[in-house]
Amino acid sequence: MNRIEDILGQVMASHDQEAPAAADLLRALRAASPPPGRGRARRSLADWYLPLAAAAAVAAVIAGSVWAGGLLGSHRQASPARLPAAPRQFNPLIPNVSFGWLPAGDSLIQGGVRRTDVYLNAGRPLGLLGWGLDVYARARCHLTGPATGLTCSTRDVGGVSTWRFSDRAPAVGGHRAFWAGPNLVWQYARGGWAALNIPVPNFSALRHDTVTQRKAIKIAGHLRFGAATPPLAFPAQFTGLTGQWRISEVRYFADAGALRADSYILTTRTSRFSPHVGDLGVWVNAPYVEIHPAPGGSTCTPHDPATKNTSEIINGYRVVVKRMTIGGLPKQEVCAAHAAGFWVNIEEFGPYPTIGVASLFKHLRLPGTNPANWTNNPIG
Amino acid sequence: MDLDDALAGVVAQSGDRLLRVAYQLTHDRVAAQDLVQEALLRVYRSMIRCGVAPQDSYAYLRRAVLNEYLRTVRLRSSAEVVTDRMPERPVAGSPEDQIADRAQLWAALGALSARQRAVLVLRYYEDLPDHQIAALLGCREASVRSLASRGLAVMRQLAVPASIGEEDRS
Repeated sequence: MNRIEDILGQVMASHDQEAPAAADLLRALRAASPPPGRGRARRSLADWYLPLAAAAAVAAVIAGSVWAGGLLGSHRQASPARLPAAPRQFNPLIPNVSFGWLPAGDSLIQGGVRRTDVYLNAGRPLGLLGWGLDVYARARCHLTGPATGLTCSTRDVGGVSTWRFSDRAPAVGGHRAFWAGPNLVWQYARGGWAALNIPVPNFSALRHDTVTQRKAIKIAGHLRFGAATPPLAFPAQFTGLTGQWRISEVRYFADAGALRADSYILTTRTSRFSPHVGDLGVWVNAPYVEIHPAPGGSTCTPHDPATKNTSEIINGYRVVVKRMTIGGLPKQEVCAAHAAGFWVNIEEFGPYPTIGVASLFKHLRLPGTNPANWTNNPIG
Repeated sequence: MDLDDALAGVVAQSGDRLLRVAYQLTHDRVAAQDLVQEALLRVYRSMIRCGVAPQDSYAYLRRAVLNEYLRTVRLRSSAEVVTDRMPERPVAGSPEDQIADRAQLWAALGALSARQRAVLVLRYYEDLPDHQIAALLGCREASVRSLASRGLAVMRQLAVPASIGEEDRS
């Protein structure tokens, strides 16, 4: 007689030969790419909310003449002291930064906005490595020592990035710039730095590749900021919520020319980041919202048999409400596989949520899958 | 040795092992390859930025694979189709029955939650002690024991093999 524990390892090992081989992986790494939307981890804000007034102020600053005037497109030489200041924080309701030029065949794949930083990924649909841009808000980055490198912090889990300068790069729009491995790092505004990850393996490959160098400088020099960026389209709107709710983090995808924002976090003053739950940490009292057109065969089938589920009808849509405990933290989730053509999932951690996910779902208005009917403001 | 060489070396040395762990987690060849590929890209970018390769590359990549798995499952849990209907249980005794037992256990593993499955794979496939699993999953050791216990309990409910003792039936 055996116990499950005694034979489980053998059962697992007996399936070893079914696993793909490293040779396949190497071939895939050379020839394929991860699907769009999986190239970047969902990242969480370290700070716990973004006041709307501050966001509006930032938007106003960003939208001002300095930013909209194409500062980085200018090739006027400017010392750091004369540069306009970088925004202290980014507005999550707009992209804040967009590519004004990309090499032929490359296009924007996805982007994300946090208060602390903005990221964009661009490339070819079948390319393994594309261009990866990170733009940091003011005071997020600091030169290390006598300008030998740059460290940028977003204060969340794993939120520190360091670049070691390999060489001085040509100025970007008149502003100092450096090569750092396969990255171009430059000061885009006073107190603000940006980094462009270049699709080459290392600096050795980049050093003599003047064509790619020029492309990188041109991409950096043609970035658009603030009001010059295209709007984000949110596929749904929460109406009737109290004024305390804010959009804290947005991830979006480029879809046929539209920037489809399908993932964000709602935060309030009681929201807190709990770094020790799960692998990346989670926000407590902060609903994670994910809404996108429902793929064929989408389902809300629970993946954990121990989860307590109930099926309900809310706003005329069939939803599954799940309750579970993760890392000692209660978690609730509401999922609708087909709600006006959308797949909707809202999950929230914490024992005393400010608003439950089922209640929150009642505030959700879904305008349909035609992006022309989508909104720029997910909280109406 | 530069970073590319270091990473290529890791793939050559540990790629198969990483893929096997990923396959244990996903039960899907393509998903396993995606998982390892994604983890490699993340680690690669991190290595480029930091300019150094991790000392224990396999452990570092295994952690990246695990994180990517949990992240992906959390984001895409709705895509999983789980059934609580298991095949007919075989009668104990014959070699065919034992094969059927193992197939049931493998199927039952696929019905566990991501973290439960991760704990069982790390404990019984990677032979890691609970304190290391806790460090990998970012939870307390007691949580690991709880996850393992709950996972095994679910497996007992879903797939009690005919050749498994009575203590596992209760």
